[in-house]
Amino acid sequence: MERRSFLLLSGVLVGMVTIPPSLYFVSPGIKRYAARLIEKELSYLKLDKAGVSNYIKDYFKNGSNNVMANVKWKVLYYSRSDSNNSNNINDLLRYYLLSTDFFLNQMDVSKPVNYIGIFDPYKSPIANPYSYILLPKIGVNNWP
Amino acid sequence: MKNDKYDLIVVGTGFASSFFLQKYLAKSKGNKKILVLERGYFYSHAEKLKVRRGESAPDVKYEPKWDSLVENFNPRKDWHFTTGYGGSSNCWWGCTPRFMPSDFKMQSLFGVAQDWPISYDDIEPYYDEAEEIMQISGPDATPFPKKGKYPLPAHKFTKVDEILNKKYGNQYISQPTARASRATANRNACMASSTCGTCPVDAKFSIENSGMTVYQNPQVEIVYGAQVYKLETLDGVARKVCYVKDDKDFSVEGDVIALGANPFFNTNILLNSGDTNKFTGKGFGEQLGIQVLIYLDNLSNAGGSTWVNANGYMLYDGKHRKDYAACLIEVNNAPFIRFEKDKWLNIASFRLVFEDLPEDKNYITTSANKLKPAVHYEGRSDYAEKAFANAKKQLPEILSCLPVERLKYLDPFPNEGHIIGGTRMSANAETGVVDKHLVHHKYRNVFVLGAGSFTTYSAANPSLTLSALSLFAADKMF
Repeated sequence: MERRSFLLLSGVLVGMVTIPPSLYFVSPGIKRYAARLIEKELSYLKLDKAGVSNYIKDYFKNGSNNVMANVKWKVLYYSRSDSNNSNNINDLLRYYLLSTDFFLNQMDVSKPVNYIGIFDPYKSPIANPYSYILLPKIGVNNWP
Repeated sequence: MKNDKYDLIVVGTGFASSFFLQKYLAKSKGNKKILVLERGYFYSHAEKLKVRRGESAPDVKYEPKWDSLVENFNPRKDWHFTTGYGGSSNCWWGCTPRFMPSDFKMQSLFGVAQDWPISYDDIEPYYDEAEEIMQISGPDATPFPKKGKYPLPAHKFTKVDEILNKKYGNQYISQPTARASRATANRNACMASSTCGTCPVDAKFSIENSGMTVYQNPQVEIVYGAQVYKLETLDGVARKVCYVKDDKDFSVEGDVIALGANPFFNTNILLNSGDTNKFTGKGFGEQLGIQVLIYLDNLSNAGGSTWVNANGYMLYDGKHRKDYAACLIEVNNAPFIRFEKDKWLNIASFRLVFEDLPEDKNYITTSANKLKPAVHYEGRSDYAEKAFANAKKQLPEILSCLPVERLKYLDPFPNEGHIIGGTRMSANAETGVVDKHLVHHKYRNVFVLGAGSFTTYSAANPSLTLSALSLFAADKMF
């Protein structure tokens, strides 16, 4: 089953924010390219490298080696795909930020971004960043 | 069972059954024998939370997957529901807008489908009552007629909501919802976790946390694990309810029977009973849901206090319904995120929910297994598909008060979590299955409750309306 189909079924794209067990086959190469994709798009943040690595490990948990999947992530990286044109990359980055202290720190780019555990509303104290509990109505921008 | 014969036998413990019993008990004189047959078991919210957290909980066996309970002939279409105590109150997401008055008059206003045999005014008082029981949070101004305030205050708007509300007034409102805006006696306040099926903080109304005591009433006896599949009938009267429990067949006699299972199982029971109404099982379906992401320039959408923060009615009512469907906009706080610097939360998420029409190509039948309905769903109507095409044309203008960078449409959802129709309400047996009081046109001692009775679907979520209909039916008939 395609990962996106799985996400739809599990309700993530409906609004649910549970991380499903990964369906990817994982090799060290996949993890390397996945980490590079995060670092490339979020290069303006002070990412905790060990945290990115731990996140990747948790995100792809239960995987095993597979040459084609490895090639896929390598192609995503070298084809200049990004979160706007790849649902795989978008999911990877989205859950990364949700799994860090970035929103808890009010999106302060001067602070290091630390991984604090895979995002799970049933286990994590991190609220949905859109919730008033975490961020005020106007958020970072002061539009009139 | 304590008795061989009961005054009332109720099938199921979801919204339809519970609200029906609530009114029935309020009107009875305290000396009734009532049997409730529930195909599932009591599986508490606390136990469900353990499972969601990855802990072992033996009760997880009480949560069968929906597709193991029916024969689904269209693998591309999902029909999510839960069985067990509380029925789909355990998996709904708590959206409770009322229907619009026009939803009951589709034929006379728009020349489409059929009119309901009841009007909005007929059930308006029961909307109030259902909203009180559910402790709904909602705004003062609504697009549908409403006397008085909602029991709980409205949820908090985001800046995006404020701008749209300022432009559209009561056509853009804080969503009326069973996700509590304040803690109540039995529920916590919503934290906008956007994971509402099993609410992490128990803020959403369910039968379990409702404070309704219908199943604890001494007149009521409940049997779990009882899978009802047939009524024994004689001369147009249902005499007995037949069910399987622990692989054994049972039957029990009742004066009045209320079928409060979902439309798949209610239909299965009727067809297995020999119901020959040509509409039984016909024209079931649900709304079409499509998500559009609105990328905003220099405007954050943070600060809402629940999952669906608002409802937009800008594409709902009007002459267009002669040609294409109403659309209810659900403005939700699903955590879609942008990754450009300083734009992380500059994105609003609209779910466009289009009504659909009952069509004969979508139908429910029995299967070789008497306990399993067969679900045949071919697809949406052109009426709904055309409405989506229209929405894509109109949205840029509707959103012109916002600094929109671009719109991104996602693929249609495989389900809206609703099952509507199959035992439609009508003035007579030639045009539908049940009358305006949800009594079967042929079996006059059988109520067929729930969203299966809807004559047409509306674009609005069904649970509040089907609950109000149960109150209405029990109030008028007892």
